[in-house]
Amino acid sequence: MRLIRYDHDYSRRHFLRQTARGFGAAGVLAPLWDVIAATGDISKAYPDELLSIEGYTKGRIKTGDEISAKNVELVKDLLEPVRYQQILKDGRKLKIVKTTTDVMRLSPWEYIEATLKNAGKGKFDEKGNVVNAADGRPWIGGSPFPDARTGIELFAGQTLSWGRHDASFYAIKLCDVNEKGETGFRYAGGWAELQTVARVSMEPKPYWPQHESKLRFQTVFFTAPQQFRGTSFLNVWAYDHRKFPDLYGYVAEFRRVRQFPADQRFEPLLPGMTLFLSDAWAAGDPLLTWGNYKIVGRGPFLAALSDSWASDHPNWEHKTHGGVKGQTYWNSSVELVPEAIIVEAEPTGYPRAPISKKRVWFDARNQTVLGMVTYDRNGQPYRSFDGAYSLYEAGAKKFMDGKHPYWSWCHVTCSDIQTGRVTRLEQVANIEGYASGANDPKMYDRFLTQSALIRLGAN
Amino acid sequence: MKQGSKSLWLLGSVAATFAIGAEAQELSRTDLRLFGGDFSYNGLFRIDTAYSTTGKVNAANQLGLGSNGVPIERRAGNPATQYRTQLDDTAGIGVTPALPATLLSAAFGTPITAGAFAPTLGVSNLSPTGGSDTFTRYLPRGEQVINYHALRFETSASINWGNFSFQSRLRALYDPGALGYDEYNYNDYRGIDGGFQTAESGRPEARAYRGTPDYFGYSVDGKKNPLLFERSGKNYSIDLPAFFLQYNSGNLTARLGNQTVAWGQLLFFRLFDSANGLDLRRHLFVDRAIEEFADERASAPGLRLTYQVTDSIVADAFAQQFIPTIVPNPNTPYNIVDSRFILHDNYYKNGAYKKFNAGLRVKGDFGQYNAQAFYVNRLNPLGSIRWRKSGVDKALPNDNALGAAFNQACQAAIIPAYNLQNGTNFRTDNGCGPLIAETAFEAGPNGLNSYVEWFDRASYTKLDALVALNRLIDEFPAAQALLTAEVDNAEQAANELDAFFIAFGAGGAHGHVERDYYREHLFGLGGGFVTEGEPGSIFDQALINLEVTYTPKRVFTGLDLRQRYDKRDEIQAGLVVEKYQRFFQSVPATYMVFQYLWQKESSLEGLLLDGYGSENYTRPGTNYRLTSGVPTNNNPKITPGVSGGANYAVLAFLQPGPQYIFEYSIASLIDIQGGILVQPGIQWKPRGNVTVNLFYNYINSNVWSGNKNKSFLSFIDDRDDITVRLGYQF
Repeated sequence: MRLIRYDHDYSRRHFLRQTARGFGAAGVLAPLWDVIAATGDISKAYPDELLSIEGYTKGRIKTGDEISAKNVELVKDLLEPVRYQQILKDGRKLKIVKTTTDVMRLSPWEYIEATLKNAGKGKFDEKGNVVNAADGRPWIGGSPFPDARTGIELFAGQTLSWGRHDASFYAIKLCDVNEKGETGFRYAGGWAELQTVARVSMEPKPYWPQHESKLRFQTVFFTAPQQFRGTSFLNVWAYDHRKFPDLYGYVAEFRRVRQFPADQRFEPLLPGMTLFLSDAWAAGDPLLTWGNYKIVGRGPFLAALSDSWASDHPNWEHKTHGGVKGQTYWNSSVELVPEAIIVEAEPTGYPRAPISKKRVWFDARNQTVLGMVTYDRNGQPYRSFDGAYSLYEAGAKKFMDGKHPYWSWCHVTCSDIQTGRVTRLEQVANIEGYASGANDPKMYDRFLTQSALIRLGAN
Repeated sequence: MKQGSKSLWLLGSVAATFAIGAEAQELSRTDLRLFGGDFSYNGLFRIDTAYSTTGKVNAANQLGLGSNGVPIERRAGNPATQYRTQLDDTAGIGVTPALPATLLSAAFGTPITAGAFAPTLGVSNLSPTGGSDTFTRYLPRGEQVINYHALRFETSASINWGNFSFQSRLRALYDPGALGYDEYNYNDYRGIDGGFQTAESGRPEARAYRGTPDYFGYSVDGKKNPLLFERSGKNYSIDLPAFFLQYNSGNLTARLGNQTVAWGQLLFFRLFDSANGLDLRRHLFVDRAIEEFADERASAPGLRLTYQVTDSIVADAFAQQFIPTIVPNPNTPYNIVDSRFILHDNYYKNGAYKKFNAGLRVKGDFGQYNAQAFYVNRLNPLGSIRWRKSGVDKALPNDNALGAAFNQACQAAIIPAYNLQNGTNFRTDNGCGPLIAETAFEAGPNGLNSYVEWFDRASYTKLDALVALNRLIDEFPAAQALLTAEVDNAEQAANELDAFFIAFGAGGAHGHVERDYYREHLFGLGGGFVTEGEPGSIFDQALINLEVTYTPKRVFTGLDLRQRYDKRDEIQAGLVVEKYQRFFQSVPATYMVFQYLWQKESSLEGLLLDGYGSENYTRPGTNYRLTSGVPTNNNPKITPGVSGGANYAVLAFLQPGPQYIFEYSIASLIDIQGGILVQPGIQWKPRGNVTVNLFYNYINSNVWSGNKNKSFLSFIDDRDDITVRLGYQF
């Protein structure tokens, strides 16, 4: 007979206590970060009920099962309200896969190594920016607060390194599906981001010396449809998170690069889209242009963190289901996340923003964003975001990032709760020869300068 | 094609566009391979229809002329008094020293007397001497329901081979022609006075004057299709606005092939945007304002090198074949040159097509500040215009007294004397034809017929009616031989003009002008910054940029169309302030732009300011007003000009709706001299592949000045229209 030391409600009570205190280390059975630092595995930090769906549902749902309207009530507490409603009423389904306990499979290898190496070295300076405590210079790489105790610490890590690679290029396809289930808008393009500080893989590191005052370069461009072909925008982020990025754009009609105001970050990027610049990685704005960060909850969660690479498609394109016409939702594989930390923040630097706050679910294990809900000015849920990350490894198939399999996001679902529109994004292998990947030193010249914008705006 | 079948065609094309579109939704491909590279393509179908809200035919076109159907009294001046008096005020044509009665008697057996000539087409109240009459231009006033309609297909294709790529865009347009237009057709009038030789010549440049209007063609003197990457005809155009190889190596990008180059932060005002001319053949420059010159900026073959010098500084250089600004053809809806003047484009004939433009711009962005400077060495794409010999050896019609008298005098005395004096060997069996060929005029149907039209057209074109006449005389020796005289005042000019217009008969006179291109050096400096204010306030994050250019000795069209062009130093200064401001939480931010432009010497379309503001002349006791809104009297101000430079302002707003499904815009261009162009518009994107645009152009060149001719908008004053665009992209 096995003695059950922690009953089924122990973890729930623990999370409630932690939330009520407003801070505290992650982990139920032991401090999570200590466990990770010692073993690289999270198993000893959580009880069985948080390490498998079988444990959580007492065997009523098993790994490999599908969450649908028939059984969603069993996992209602593991979902944001929007996903729950979509499963219940709109035919959305989620496939359950095994919980990942090896933290090295949950982020790029070098980023995790840097996080381990630099743990405890980060702090906020008098301006509110994250710095290396030893010398006050910009952050040196990895998560600055792996054992985050506050909401702003979680957001700081996310804002400092979006894709967790020093440089990333994502070939992207976007679709907007209306409330009737029809795909109304389709776009294709690319997103490039390059860290100038906190670099963990690319030389020079941790800083690109001439750009130590900056945080990143980031470009988004579109190749289709024809009307937007060549349209591109370059953001140059200052390291000082009180400042707006400089924004330059090549608008196809103007045939030239022009500067644009950067403070309007709540505008749809393209017609039909529900996405704002502010939504990027749930931390699309400089950290200090938001405020009132606070932890509002903790608990287990269902999120897509593995088995999401569409390796069976030559261009990594994902299949869809649900909605009226089977086009509304990505086919997703989700796993039980033992502990998600829920943080709210308010757009204090944007008095005219259409949203009043955002609520973001962070994975306590590595501070990745699992989901986000934004609220309108009346406090009503407005838009919901959920995505999928994965190691790009499926059996014998691997897509490598240096010595290790590529880790990245695979797809994102953005739901406008008030209109019923859903914007779907996916990272594909290639758009017109622009191939997804990480840490390519040519990325800067290719995408992240004004001359690159001219080149991308080909005709 | 009959009107009904054309309507069916248009409806059919709309249906076909969307039917094809429905099938084409997934056609856009991004994962194909071609020639070893990644191949992709996409494209669009679009139907543009601009409905006129004035119902008027363009005032520069044959069926839109203010003189059509208007009886105008003509009184020929007496050459013996340098046209200070009128023939009918003297003893008659037979006693003028220059037209000896003996010569006329030899020609006709008897002196020219009352009743010798019957009134010709359009003529009434013919005086006994033939020295005065009333002429009523016999062309009808047309109606215009539609200003512009075209079916457009565009496709972009690219092949990427890593550092190399090939980029292309093909644009094809078709305009079915007469649908919604009262279309002028020269063939309806070719029987008058033996026709119009320029139109009949068969030369490439004559296409625009032959038959129906040439909507899309670009033919110049000596060359039917002078542009390497375009083939076009009256109703179609196919070109490759982009067709180039691109090479990227680190911080250097090179492009070789047909392409556009655009610079500058200012919108619409083309100070830094100086590399390429404009192609104004389609919807002139009154397309959707928010698109600026997307469809108008002309491409040119050449090489462009873009070098990222540092992370903050970009150098951009180009060398391109010179391609001029292409203006709409005669009798097309947005034509701006009176269709009775034949514009000889010397782009090919004088070798301008062999010339290159080149330029370099350096731009630096330093956080919230930026600075830029450029130098361009180019041929001015606007070109400069002057009188030229018509080259048409066609006698004056012999069916009117003055025409007959001039012809006879030419054959018997004037041409022999001219040959003797100038060593020429002009024939003496074709009336005044050989000498008229040496002037800027040609006799033919539907030409100029009265002094009233002359003054009206000169002021419309921002020319000086008096000195332009004098240059026709003193710079063309053959004209002097034809008993002409330079004039001092409007009355004298009217007398002289009427003398010749009566002699030109029922057809009238067509003027010949030529357009040449001259090299110039442009220097530009610019700078800007982003404001910082209270977050969310109107003063936060506004972009302010100033751009200034200096062009020494720019060659302008003289007010008198003189042979030696007018050279002046031009300075342009433009300010742009842009701001996104969110006024409503439920809809995206409003984009607002304010711009101001000052130009020292010329107006926005490149004409000298000195030519602006003319009034029209009408003889004492008459009141002929061919253009409303232009003061007309017997003591008119001729080219008073605009002092202090030209001033223009732009105010524009763009308000997207949620998800940008709808976009509402309003753009206004204000000519401080008194004109405005206001364009409210809506864009609707019901689906990603469907775009519907609706916009209205309200144009008024005389809001507060009291004279249309003070504003450059007078050229398009009646081009108000509502444009509907239906586009499908894939």
